[in-house]
Amino acid sequence: MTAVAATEEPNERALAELRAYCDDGPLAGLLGRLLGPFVPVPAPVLVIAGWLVPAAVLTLGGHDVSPAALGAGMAAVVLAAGIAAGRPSSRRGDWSLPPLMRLVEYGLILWLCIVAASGAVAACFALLAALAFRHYDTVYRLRSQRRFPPAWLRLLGGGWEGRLLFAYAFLVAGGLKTALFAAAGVLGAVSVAEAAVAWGRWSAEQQPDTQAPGREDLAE
Amino acid sequence: MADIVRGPTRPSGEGDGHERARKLITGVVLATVAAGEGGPAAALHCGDEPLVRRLVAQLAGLGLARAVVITRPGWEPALEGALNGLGVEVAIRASPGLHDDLRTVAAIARSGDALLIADGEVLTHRTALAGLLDDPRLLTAILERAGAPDGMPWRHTRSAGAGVMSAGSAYHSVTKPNGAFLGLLKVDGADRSKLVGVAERLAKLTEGGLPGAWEEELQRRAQRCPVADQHSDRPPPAFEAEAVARASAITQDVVALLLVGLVRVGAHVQSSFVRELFWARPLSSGEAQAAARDIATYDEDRLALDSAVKATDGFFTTFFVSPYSKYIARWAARRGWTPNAVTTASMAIGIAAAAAFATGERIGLVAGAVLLQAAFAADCVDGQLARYTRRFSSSGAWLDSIFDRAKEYTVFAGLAIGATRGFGYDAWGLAAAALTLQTIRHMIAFSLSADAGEDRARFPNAPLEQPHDGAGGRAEQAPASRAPSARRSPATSPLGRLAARAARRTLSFSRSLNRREAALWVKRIIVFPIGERFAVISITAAVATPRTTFVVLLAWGAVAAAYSIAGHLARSMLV
Repeated sequence: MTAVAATEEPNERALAELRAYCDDGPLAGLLGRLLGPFVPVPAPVLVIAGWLVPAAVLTLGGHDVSPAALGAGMAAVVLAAGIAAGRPSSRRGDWSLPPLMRLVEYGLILWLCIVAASGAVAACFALLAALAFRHYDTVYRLRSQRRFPPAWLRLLGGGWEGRLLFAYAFLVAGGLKTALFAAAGVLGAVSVAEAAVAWGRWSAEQQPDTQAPGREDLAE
Repeated sequence: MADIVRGPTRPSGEGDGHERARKLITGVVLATVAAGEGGPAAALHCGDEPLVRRLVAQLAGLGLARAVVITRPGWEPALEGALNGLGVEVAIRASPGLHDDLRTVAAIARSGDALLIADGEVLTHRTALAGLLDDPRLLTAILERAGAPDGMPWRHTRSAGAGVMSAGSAYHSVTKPNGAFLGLLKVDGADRSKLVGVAERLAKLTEGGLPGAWEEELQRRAQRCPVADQHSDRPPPAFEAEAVARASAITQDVVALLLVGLVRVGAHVQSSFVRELFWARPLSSGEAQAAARDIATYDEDRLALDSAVKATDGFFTTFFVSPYSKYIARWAARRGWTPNAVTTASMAIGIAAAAAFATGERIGLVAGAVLLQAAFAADCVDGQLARYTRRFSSSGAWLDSIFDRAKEYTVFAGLAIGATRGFGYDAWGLAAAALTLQTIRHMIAFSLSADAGEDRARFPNAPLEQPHDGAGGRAEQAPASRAPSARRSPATSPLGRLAARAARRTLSFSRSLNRREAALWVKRIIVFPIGERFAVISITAAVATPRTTFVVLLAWGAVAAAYSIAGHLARSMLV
């Protein structure tokens, strides 16, 4: 058995799990590594502060929100929450990061669709459902297999920041509804297929050793 | 060391009715405690067979591949007789004392896969043992009884959701115990090296008998026992007796000492609770006979079925579903249905419910409401069936959880389609908001429980030489020599003091709620568990419109999220 947990301290293990729940993409990872050490603010505070910028833009702008203002808001939340990804553990606040990242990601994509592209809300539901599968699967798989989903799946998903920028780009360029449906289809299918394959592999590895232990190792 | 290897090697698992994949486990059975009448207590007769024979036979039926019985020199013939012809490989090893017991355990733990270390005198139901051995979700785990420990001196435990945080022996004490260790410790293959380290460390400590500091501590502890209050002048013989009893108990307490060691080196030890089942560890023939009479009065099948119902389910599930779903589970078990088949059926019924909701017609909404309740009942049945038939599987647990979420969100989609078709408005925004809120609520719960693992790591890993578990500054355990500053003061700034006061109020409110049974249910209802959510969906969809359903889900969900966040903040500020 190749349980990842075997040699790690529970502490590191818990932090690694929380980071996996967050589902940061490559851009957030880069921002965190580059800028995280220079911004001495606790990660949850950074995320909430960043989230408030596009939330304010969407509230003030309403249906006439300008793409430039919205773009600035999106850049602010990606920057702030990306830096947060590189901040060290704040101990008591660590638990708040995964739910906050879902608030940032699901909340903003949905808000964007409702305010600026109301025709795309059903497509948004589809994307959120596909993402929810991935995010729940990460948690449940860590619980039952004690394994992390593969890194390529996280890269393919682009992370929360990749998906926020993806939604914004298609909102500006047009075709958001199609893009969201397509993303939901691809992410959903790949995630479900990968989960099924991972379970097949895991079950095969768990078959007990049918060879009964010899008595010689008892006899000494 | 005398070694007697006997018995043919035969694949175990008999008496089980059906084949299943089990890991082979090596058992280490300690038969080192003397019965009141002399001789090993494990060889005492319970009904028509010795205790240890009954235990090893039960374990063999649950996948024990072989057993090594550790006993005292001179007791081998009694145990040989007791374990003759069991159909599993049994080796009996004579060991003169604690130090050699530990060395033997370390040697066995170096090879092989998973281990089960057990007190040879334990008398309990097969169902209780199966709960520990047959559940693949439990890696390293103990058999435990929840609640105030009574009649189990010294072997206290403190467990939380994340596992066993502290364990006791005659020497090691537990801060705020909330359970008792029942003498069976399963050690996963991945934790074997930790076990070897702990056994060797303990063996080294006890090389020339008990360390002097341990003897002193046992003396001191004996004087603090309740008898001491009645006689303040000088230690009456009772102290001596208590100290001697503790000292002798510790030399027979290998299993408890190993558990203390594992917990203190930070191994993740989970719990399997006996709940209503019978458990005893008789140490005299009178006790053994009484225990044999008592266990015969238990209806194991009924208790197994009752134990199959989760103890921590929500209000709706406990009072409106489990009372009948457990009988469906038994019915399904007798038909040979697997839990995964029931899980899949539940998902299919859930999709049918979503399709009925999607019609947008009143009759469709009512049908959807009924189907959703059927899906939920099936969802309760699968878990109960798994626990009742002991067919746990990791993939089953995953499938069950994933399908639960999939059912809920498919029903959201069905309701949103129904809103467009039957009521002429767009409810996708509400549906997506409900999905977002529910996912965030789950993520809060998941993150808090992952973080609880971190809390366990932060629980200071006290060295084995230290009698108290190092739950620092927390009242009764701290010896007088410790600095008073050991008590942490989390709030020094005025803002911190205000926050702490608010936290205390919230907590005392929450604790006062806990006092009464009814109030406990109110707390469980506030957090809006799955039974309540599905009931809300069914009722509102049947009598009102999809919009009502989503608005109620969002409002109740928001209250629940605020309640759990406030509760967590209050607790974390005070601990």
